[in-house]
Amino acid sequence: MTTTINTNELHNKIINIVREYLGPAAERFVDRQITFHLGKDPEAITKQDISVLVSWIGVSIGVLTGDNSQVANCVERISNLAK
Amino acid sequence: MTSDIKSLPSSYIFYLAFSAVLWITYIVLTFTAPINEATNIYHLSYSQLMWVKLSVVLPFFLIWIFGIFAATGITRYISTIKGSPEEKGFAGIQSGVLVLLLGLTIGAVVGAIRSFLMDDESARIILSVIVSYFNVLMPLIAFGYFFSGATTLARLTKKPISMLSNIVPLILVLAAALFYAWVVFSNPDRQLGVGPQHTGALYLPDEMIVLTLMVPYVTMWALGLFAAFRLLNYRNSVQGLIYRSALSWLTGGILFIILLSITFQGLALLRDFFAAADLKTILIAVYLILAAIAVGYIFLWFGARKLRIIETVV
Repeated sequence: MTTTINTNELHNKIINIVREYLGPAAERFVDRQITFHLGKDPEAITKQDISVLVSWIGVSIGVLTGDNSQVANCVERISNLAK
Repeated sequence: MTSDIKSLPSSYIFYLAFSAVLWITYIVLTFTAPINEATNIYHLSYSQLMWVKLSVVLPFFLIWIFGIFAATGITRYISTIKGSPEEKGFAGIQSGVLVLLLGLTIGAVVGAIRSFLMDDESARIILSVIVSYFNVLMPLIAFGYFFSGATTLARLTKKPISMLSNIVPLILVLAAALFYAWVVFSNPDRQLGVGPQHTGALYLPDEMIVLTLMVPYVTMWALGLFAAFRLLNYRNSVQGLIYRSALSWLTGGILFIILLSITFQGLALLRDFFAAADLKTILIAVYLILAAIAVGYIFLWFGARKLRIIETVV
């Protein structure tokens, strides 16, 4: 079932996690990942999209840092939002 | 490569073309300048003079080329953050770099023209005054842009600018101002050069030296130092482990460029003190500072590139 009531909040939660790694670039980064890989409006993100989104975020953050623990930590925290 | 250039704003492409023309002019003027025995105080042969000229042109060229890489990197980065709150701050940094590089190139051309006028004292005096003002005007504008950009970025973090970021540059500026005043007013040749080797004389009355050179120089150093510390403040306060790591390169580059430009200006102002030093010592000091400024532009280039990757990775 797709819920739309909390989508904006979910979007904000993802951005807040990513902001700890990418600072002011976080929102642009997350929106780009959603638009490019999920082909949808960033505000329309749902919990069902998290598993696909988090794998792409992991790959992209991995490109930006050689620190695997940072990537794993970020991926785990975003994955937890799907629960 | 062609598509890379086409992706840049047309005004920036015009800047690149103008800058390249100035460089070619500088190289032609430098190597075709007549040799004046009166200013050849180290009695170098023609080939030795050519090597000295090449050894000065080369580091300046490296600074210019790495500066262009840095400016292009930051221009490309800004194109990825259009409409964001940081755009204005980084645009200020970009403008500062562009003006600083333009000042370096135009200053080099005007300096090269001076070599053709060594027998015409009145023309030499006019050009010396123009060079004196130009050497202060361009960095003053550039550091003004750096200050404006750094202040805009520091305010974005919504945290107050630290006391340290205000007090340390203030103390440094006051110390530099007092030292500069002592250097200028302890030089008896400051108004008129004595002998042809004293090309560093300012040819200005004391009031004009204070109002039109000392005040702008001290203002410029203040703007530069405050900009450097505000950028550090932004780097230390902004969120984002990976963003901050990329920003460290850019901030480090700007810090290098500002602090070393101030050091280089200080040494240029002290050039009469070095007239008695041997050529080898002077060249080593000049090369070291120029190499460090080039390193500053390389840091800036890396930082801008890393920030752009953050904005484009998918």
